[in-house]
Amino acid sequence: MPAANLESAADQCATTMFLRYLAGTLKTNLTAFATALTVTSNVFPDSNPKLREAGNWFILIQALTADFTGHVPPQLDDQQVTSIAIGYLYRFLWQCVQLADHDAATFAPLNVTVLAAFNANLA
Amino acid sequence: MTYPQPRTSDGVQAGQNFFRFNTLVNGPGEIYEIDTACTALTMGPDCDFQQLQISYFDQTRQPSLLNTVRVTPTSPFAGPLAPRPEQPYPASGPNTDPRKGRLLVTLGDIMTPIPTAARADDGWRPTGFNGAAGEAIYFVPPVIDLIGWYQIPPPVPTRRGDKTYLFQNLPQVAVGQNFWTVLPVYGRKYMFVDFFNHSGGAITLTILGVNYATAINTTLAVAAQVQKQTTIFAAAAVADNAGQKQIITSTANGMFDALAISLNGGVLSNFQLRVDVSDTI
Repeated sequence: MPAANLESAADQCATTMFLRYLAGTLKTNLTAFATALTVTSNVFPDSNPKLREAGNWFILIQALTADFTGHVPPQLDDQQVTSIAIGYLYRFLWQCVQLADHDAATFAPLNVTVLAAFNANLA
Repeated sequence: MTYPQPRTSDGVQAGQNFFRFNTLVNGPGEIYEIDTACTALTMGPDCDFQQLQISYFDQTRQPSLLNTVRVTPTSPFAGPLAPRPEQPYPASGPNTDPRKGRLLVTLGDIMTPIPTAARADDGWRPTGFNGAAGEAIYFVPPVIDLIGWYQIPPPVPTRRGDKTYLFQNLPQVAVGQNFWTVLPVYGRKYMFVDFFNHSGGAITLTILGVNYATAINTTLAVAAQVQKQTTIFAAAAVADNAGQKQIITSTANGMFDALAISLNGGVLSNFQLRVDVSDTI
């Protein structure tokens, strides 16, 4: 079931975030996060009105990382930024889960790309 | 969620002074667009959330050009905001198809996913929950209600209203099992639970306060969940033709995202469970 796969990804992201937070290794996640972000952002083009309902999350996520890297001295440390960003990512995935409930034909084909990107970079 | 999303410009075409987002929310990822300029944003009367985050194009905010403001029951946002569709967000999307300016509405609070028929195991569960044995849970979906004003808003402000929930019977579960009802109470300062039992037998009442975390945890053991639950009224039997009242305040009990109320009895009907929630004590 397409939604269930994305749901697992959302769950996995949240779990990963907490585990890395507890282990103090969230810092290493920012680069991987940016990589996964670029891949998935391209899958949700703004010109597609359906996909933009999930792609809107990238405006928030990428603005967060841009402000972090562009602000000297940084207002937040990278662990905080990554924690917030993965929280956004979790919510993006949940938006995909819900959109797949409403329109599986549109969102199901995206699962492979989205899951591959996140599994490769965040798992 | 509302799908496809409503267009806020529909209010303009209808000659209204405002648009209103008023929809049930089923998951933490919901994000809505506002495609019209507005002079102020206020929380609508049906809103269950304490905080709504509005993200907008701000050319003074470098380098992302994105700024945010939060609308709460006590702090509407008075100031013109425009979607600025002629401006791209530089940090967003591939260069060949940058995401254009827009206003975005997201939840400022954390919520748990609401279970659906296809995803029945979603969402928070109380410690020790045993669905296999017949224990059941029902979530009242929270409502997002946001009003955007095209012109100067009227002097009478809109604000989040008080709410009353009333239950007189619930689906019967196996004897000895709990039926949990979860109500959204984000940031409410006063709650009044009034239970009276006419069912013909004793019903055990339990009241928990819940603070959600960013996790659905469907693959984790309940004991490993990161959501926090606080016992407000420990399980106690309420005899037939007897009642139990419980006043919950932010000063005495704290603030919660949800109230979880369990009824456990041979007959889950012929009772009155009334819950009033308010922003003022």
